[in-house]
Amino acid sequence: MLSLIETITGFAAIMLMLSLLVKTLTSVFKNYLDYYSDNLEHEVKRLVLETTGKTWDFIRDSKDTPGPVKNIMKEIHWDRLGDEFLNPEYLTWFLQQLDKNAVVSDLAARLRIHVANVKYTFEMRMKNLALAAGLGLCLLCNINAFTIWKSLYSDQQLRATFADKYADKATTLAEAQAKAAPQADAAKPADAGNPAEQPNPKPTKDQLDAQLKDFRQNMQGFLTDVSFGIGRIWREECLRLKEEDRRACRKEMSEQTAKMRLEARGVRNSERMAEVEKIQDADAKKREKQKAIDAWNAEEKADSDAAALKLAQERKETQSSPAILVYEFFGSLLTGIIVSIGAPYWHDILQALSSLRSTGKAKA
Amino acid sequence: MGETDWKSRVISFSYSLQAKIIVSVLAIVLLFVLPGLSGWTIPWMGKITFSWMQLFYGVLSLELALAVYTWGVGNWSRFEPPPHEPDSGTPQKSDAGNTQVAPRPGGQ
Repeated sequence: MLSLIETITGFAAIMLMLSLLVKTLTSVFKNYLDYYSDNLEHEVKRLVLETTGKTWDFIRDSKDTPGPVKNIMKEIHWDRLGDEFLNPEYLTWFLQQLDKNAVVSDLAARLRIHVANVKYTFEMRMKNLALAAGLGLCLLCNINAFTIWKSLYSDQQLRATFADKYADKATTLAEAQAKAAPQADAAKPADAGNPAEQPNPKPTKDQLDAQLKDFRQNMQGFLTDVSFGIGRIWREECLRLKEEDRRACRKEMSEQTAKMRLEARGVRNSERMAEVEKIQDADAKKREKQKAIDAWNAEEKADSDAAALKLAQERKETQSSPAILVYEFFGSLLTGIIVSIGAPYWHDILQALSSLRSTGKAKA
Repeated sequence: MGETDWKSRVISFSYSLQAKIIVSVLAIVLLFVLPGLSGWTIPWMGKITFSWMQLFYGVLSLELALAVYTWGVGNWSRFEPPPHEPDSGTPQKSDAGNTQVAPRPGGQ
């Protein structure tokens, strides 16, 4: 029972780390591409269409529209505007400027709907962005939840490390990130959807660069810590559709490797022999020559052991190439989906499991 | 007016549907064509050492992430209001010659 709890704890810790990475990546995208301004612009244009019956572009390009109004329309910098643009007094004036015949009624109520739309759409877009970023990251790096689970469940030492030290590290990082986020809930790490709470801040270039650097460092750290269940599809040397092609490729690769090793051994041996030839004393020369022969034999044995080990691993490998592709694809897809649900969920699960684990340990 | 409105809706819908079909077909074609570059030597990139299956996996992953982004974050997911609401109570200009298309911010 304890091993199952430890497996889930380790798995939750890894997923929490990945969720934090996805959150940072989402934040990078959000800051580079201003989705909030885009939503605001969309809603204002919808309001214009609903009120005047004409599209924004039509009014802007129409010959009947006065020059100053056209200038106002062209010079609006949506990225500098926030919700304050959607206030009844200003928009009544603005809509009447766009169309003198427009009857602006119930604007306050309609604006409330448009503001709610801006916020809701922004939130939904952020959730979808987190899903796209999570899927992209997990699929391209081939982070497979099935293999991670299997490795944790079958390796006791790995399980203990990830359920203990790594879980603490993930929790600390999540809490530090939650504290760093200005409007985040103090008890929970910030959600991927939470940028909606602070929708339109304008980060500087330095902040963006720092965020990107932070993501790169965290990603490297993650790949160093979690070396299992990641990137198998890219490491496989002979991923071929047909089994015969795969066998032929493996044979060719092993022959190539053996040849390269032999050449490398030969070079090292000639260097050693050249050193031996420089020795004047006959006894010392004999001793050094014997040492060189022993070294050659030891290297030869090590190479043949490595080749045998690789061969044994390949024989143990029962999955065909298409099966590997399907397994890795769906494993990575699942990882992408589960890490996109957000860091707070994994944080809560991890905390609950950690307390359960310590209780279990105390009882044992 | 009602007929023009209906026609404009159908035209707008068919244009967007056409674009979506073209993009989907292109994605399927690329999924099988790009992996064929396995083993090729590209002047500024060098030899592509990935196998057909690895490239297939890479293209499929990229297309899936891009599809989720395009539908979920890009403008394809957006609800566009109909250009005219006959019973909305808001004043409408009866200019049938100016077929209105719903606004699409972001340079569409």
